[in-house]
Amino acid sequence: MQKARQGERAFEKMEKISAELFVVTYGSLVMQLLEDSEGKVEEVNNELYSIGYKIGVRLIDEYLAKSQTQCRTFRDTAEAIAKVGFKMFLGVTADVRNWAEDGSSYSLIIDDNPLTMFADLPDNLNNLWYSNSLCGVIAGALEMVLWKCKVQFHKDQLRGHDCTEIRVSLVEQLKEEFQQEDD
Amino acid sequence: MRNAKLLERPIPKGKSEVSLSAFAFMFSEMVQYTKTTPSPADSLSVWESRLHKIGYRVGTRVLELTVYRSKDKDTRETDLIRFLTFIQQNVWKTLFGKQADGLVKVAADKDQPNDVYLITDSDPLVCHFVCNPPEYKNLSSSAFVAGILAGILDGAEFPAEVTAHNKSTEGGSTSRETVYEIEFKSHVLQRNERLSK
Repeated sequence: MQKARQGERAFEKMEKISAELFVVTYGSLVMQLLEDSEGKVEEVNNELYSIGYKIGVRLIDEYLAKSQTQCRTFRDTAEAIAKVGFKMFLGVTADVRNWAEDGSSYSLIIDDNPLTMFADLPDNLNNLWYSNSLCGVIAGALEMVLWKCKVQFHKDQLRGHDCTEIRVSLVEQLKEEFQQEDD
Repeated sequence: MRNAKLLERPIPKGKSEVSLSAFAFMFSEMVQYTKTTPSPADSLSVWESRLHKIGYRVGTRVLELTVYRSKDKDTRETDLIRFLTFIQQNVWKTLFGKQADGLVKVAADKDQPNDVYLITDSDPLVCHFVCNPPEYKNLSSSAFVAGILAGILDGAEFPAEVTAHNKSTEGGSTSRETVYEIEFKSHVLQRNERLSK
């Protein structure tokens, strides 16, 4: 698949770092969030999303600069995220499945989420979406290219589900606004 | 326990990689988060200590992984210098893909009652994309790595105070060289002396 090859080529060109350092640091950050919020899991989910969103808004620039993908439709963006975006930054690809009939939403299935490499959820954190930052990153990046989406976790292997699934739903396509300069 | 399979999986070999950008983005958000949560940091040292704390957790885990993967996993290192060398070489390699540049001992003198050890890194990966704005020019993002070191040393029963010093923030040079100053607790140094006799 062409996008898969683009993803691999982009990943090859990126400067790399040990996945373990990344993953353990992420875990430590999640633990800090939990400590700071005094165990309010929903707050942590939102904070993780917000952190991811701020990353996504900046990540899209690097993505566009370093990958050769062109997305004209919402469908294109799905494959681009799964095969190029994920590969470029996290070194793994995702699958795009379960398209809605009207083509406005799909699922990203991640087989081997690197973020959860060493993670296990205790019972009292049953409502935590550990990798929620990923949703924020996707939403932030897409919004910068004018696809306003709702991105949320549907299933997480960390929670005992059979797979890790992120649901992306298009809310609206934004129009680029140009400020009229008064001369 | 939800993820029972986690314990059945073999320990990864440590070869998997992610892009440096992914880490840099996350690190940047982490630095910004620690500035304001749980309350706005009222001094640079509070800010740095929060980064230190996050690094500490990383350190204890990285210690386990690196020791497990090393050739001498059946013996626990009890010699100070050998352990510091282990950090400089193996641990740094696990974390950053290269060895730290130097390990130096600064002998005790009238200003400093105990020997202090310095690990130097001429180009810390973690701070590659960090540029301090003028109002925070003395912030050391390497406080995070200092935390990692502190976690490792504590985990191996060599408790110490670890602080990071960037050349760029002191003296105005543009070098990214960072020195990690390790000040062991007195009992560690005494124990080391006793054991080496």
